[in-house]
Amino acid sequence: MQGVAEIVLLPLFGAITIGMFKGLMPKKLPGIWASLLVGISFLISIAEALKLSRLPVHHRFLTGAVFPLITGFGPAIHWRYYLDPLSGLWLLVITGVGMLIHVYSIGYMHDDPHKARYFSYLNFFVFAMLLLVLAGNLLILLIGWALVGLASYLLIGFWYQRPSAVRAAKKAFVMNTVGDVGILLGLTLLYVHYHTVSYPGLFRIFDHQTPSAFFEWTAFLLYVGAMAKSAQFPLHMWLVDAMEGPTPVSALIHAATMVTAGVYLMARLYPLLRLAPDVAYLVAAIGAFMTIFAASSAIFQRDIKKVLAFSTVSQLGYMMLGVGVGAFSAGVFHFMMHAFFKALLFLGAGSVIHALSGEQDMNRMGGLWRKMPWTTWSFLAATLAISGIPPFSGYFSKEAVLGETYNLGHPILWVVGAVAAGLTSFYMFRLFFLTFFGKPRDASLYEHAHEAPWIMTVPVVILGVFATFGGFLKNWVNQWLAPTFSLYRGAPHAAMESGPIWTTIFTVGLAVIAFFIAYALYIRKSTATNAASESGPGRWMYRAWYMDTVWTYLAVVPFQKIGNAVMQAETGILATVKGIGTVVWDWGEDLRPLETGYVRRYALSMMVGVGALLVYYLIRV
Amino acid sequence: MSATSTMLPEYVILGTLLIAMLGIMVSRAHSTLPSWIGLLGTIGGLWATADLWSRHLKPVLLFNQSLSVDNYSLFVDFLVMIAAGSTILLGWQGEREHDEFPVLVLLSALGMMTLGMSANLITLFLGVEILSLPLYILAASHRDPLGGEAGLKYFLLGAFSSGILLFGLALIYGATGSMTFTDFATAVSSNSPILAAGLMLALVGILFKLAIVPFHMWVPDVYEGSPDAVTSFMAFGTKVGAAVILLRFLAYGFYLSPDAWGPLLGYLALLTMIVGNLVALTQTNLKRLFGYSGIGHAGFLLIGVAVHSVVGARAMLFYLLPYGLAVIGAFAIITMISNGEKNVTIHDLEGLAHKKPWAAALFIVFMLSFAGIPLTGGFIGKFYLLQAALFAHQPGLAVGLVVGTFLGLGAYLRPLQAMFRHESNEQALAGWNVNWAQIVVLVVAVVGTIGLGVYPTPVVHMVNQSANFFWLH
Amino acid sequence: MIYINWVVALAAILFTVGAIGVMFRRNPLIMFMASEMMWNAAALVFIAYAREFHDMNGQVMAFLIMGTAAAEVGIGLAIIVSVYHKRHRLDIDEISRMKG
Repeated sequence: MQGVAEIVLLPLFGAITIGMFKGLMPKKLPGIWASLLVGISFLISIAEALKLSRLPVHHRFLTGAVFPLITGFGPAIHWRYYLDPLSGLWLLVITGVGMLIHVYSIGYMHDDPHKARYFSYLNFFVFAMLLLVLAGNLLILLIGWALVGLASYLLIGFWYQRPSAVRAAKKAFVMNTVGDVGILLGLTLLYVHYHTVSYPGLFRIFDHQTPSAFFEWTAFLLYVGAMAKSAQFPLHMWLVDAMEGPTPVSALIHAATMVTAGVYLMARLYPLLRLAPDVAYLVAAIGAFMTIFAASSAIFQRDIKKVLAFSTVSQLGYMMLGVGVGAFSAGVFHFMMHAFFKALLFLGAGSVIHALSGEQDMNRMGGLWRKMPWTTWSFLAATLAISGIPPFSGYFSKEAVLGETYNLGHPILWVVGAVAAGLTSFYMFRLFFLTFFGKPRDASLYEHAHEAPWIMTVPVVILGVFATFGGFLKNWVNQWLAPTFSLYRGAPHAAMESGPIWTTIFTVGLAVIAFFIAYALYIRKSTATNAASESGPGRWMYRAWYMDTVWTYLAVVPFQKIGNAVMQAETGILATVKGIGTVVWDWGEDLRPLETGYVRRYALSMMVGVGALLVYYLIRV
Repeated sequence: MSATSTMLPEYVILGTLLIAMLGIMVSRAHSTLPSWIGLLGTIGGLWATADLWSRHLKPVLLFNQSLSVDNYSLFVDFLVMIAAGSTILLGWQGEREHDEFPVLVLLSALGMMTLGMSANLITLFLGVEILSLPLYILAASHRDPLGGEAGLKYFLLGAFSSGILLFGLALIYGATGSMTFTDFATAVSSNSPILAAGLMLALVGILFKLAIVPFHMWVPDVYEGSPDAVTSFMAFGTKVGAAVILLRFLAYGFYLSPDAWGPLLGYLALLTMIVGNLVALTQTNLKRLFGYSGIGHAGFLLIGVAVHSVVGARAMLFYLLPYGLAVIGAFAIITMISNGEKNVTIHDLEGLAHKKPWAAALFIVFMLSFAGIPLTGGFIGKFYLLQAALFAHQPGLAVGLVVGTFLGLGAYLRPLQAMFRHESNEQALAGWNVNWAQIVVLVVAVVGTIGLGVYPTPVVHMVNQSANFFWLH
Repeated sequence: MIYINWVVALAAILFTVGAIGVMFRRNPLIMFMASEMMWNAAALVFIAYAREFHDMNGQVMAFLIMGTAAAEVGIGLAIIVSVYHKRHRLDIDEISRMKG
């Protein structure tokens, strides 16, 4: 209990102290203070993980109720925490990678006048994310879930001077709220049915159940929440727009931690997925679709952060694919590796943007490797990792996901994922070559470019080490997660195994071929950045298959219309009522037909209500 | 236990308002003395309520069974004290020129407290009138010509609805031969047409005060034209009074025939939730927006009555508190912006997050509580209502609650968006003015809102004890 | 002997006339008088039933209605007069500025 509470509360303490005393703090203090608290949190997390590893395998979790949140009306729901190997892994990544990104932010936000506010938000985000992961029941998870959304909303809109940032924040908020409501409904169904929402309580019940429509619906509602957070179709568009926030935010929230909350939820609910095979398949199918959809959309992007955003969506697809087919450890392992290399990619991109004084268009980059050697080589490691080239970290995790997908009998999903892996390699090397190699396309920007200060390069290099060698943690992760997935029924194939050797050769082969194509196009022929993006398919992919437009027409416009329509209907009903009155009382001395008396109309509508009530009663009796 | 001591909160308020009247006479014009007296009186009333609560008294029937003092009425006293005290504080600056402002607020509060205790038709009627009459004056007290209009509209429609209410009460009396709620159920078979007509008309009268669609039309106009502090009092206090009398009236008088009113109220709740929140989407004037959102919230409250269960009663009682706290908090910010002068629109919020980040943060908290986002009291309240609807096997109401919440969220998002907009107009925060009274209200509201969201247990226990009256027919 | 139903019917007619008056007249004074008529209809029902049941409660209620109505008149007339002072109009439709 004690350790767990401190892990969660230290960042909150940081957020509150910075928020309250930012006027009194010297300029550099907020960043150091925020990083320090997250660092301490990280150390305590390691201690807790060690404590956890000493517990017996069949009882490897820590749980407990702090005090009741909902009580008195029925079955109580407590503030409960739950720490097991699965949440422990998330804990380590959030605090570890989070700390690195905090340190990096000290350099990145150096000149921003509002950096105290920035660090207070960032600490608040870490708090919310830890609450989400350590929650011991679905309601606390939902609270963390919503707070994470709020933090993300604040951080995306951090530069609220930009209208696009405000619009992006709004979109993120709306889509995430759809997800929150999904989770709320799902947990309410479970609560009303089983009178508990705590993980151990629910999972023990699930062990004795057989699949049914009820579980399908519940799982689907909870999946809607995961969909929104982890940017799965059709609630995915916010993530790409969310890149309006400062780049370290994109690294922390929109790549390494928050967006993987959906993966966490689905992995956490593996006993429920056993009871809802259709939803599990849906998770896998949408995951596979996202891999190829996002990868194809990334190919023609010109904004360096947009490419990374689409690649995040694509990699989330792999994680969901792994979880959906039942390869839970593989999905989680891919999350961990992705946290390393994607955080690195974003931080590297951040260094580039920082060096080019805010330029994000790849059209104006190029040749930066001479100016920024540390960033370039770390970035290369991450690019190799995400492309799945052995022996970099991404190779191991992606192979685990795809191999398991094939092993568990989903060859079509495997093909989709493998092709997407090839595309991934292509667009990532396109990004890499366009940014760091070739001729500088904007001489003045290039002249002023410089390597980032050490406080930014050190976190990048540390992440580079993990992105390179992280793959060798595979066996350790397998063993570490085994107790979680063997505690309840539902994850017989959780452990990672490789697929047949030819599948590996196929995937890696595609990636290597894609690398050579990218090399040929962008180094040998120095194709322009925007080549072919004006052709039909190119524009289609550049606009992310026009899904945003479709969304606007399907969801946003109708709501505005309905609101106006009801408004008019109310006026219309009043007018009708008045009209009837006019006809009936035409002989009235001063009833001029065109004049409308509001008070009298209100009285009239009340009487109509009275009449309706009486009619209702007559019909009933 | 004598009547004097069990009705101590009411007597404290009555005494306070008499002393405040004397205070007006002895002090010079526009002094803060009446407000101070009123504020101390509400604090005294709170203390008296807490004292009575802590003694765990048995329910007492007073004055020939016309008033019932029990935990229910004490909980209502507690809510009304918060509403009245915060209203006096919010009007500290803006209503300074109306010396009688605190007196009228307290008098109206007395009417709400009467409604909380009411156990027969006479006190029901008197409670409604004592609540309404001072509010007519308050609504008309705005310096702006619109104020007179609001007061006139409220007055004419209020008199009209009171007429409907009275006729309904008269028919109920005629059908049952009794004035006491508890006699109705047993007096006559519930199929008597006179009783049914009486019940319908009486319900219309009460639902008018609660602002249920289609009896809601007065709300936006009156809210817009009244002074800010008065609007917050109407949004919180009137809803408390109307909701609690509706619950006690039906639970005591018509518990044997829930089919005669339960489904009806269910449909009205559904209609109100959807229409109120939908129309709120299109409003730009903040007070009108809160008017419509208040209509939507009245629909949520009505769920608790419509399900006719003790869980529903508890959920409704609980929901009143987070709703009211969010109302007074939001209106505290509005009074800061308007400074008693202008009608605040969404455009007046522009740049608030930039210029007054703390006020903006608090405003976000209240909006989120309205919307029912976790960690605010509004979430817990909505959760209980949802639970009540589902336990009563009324999935339609649950779906309506969710849809209404969703629509409401859209409505609350617009002011928040405006706050974060950077290209603010120059006049947006020109009249910004803060005094200590508003800060007190803000602190109470925000501590209450977050406290209810994190640790609602104490209030839940209070609500549970309050709803025990449900079994004491 | 007057049957109770006749009295109640009379009251219902009074009530209806009052309600119609509120709904279709434009002068606030007349509207207010009409709603007073609704109140008095209710008072009449109370008195009639009180006599029928030999119960004092109904009579008490009638007195309370009268007293409250008097208070209401005081407030209502004051509001109407103050609005007239501000607008120099006494037409509820023309006074109305708020809508939406």
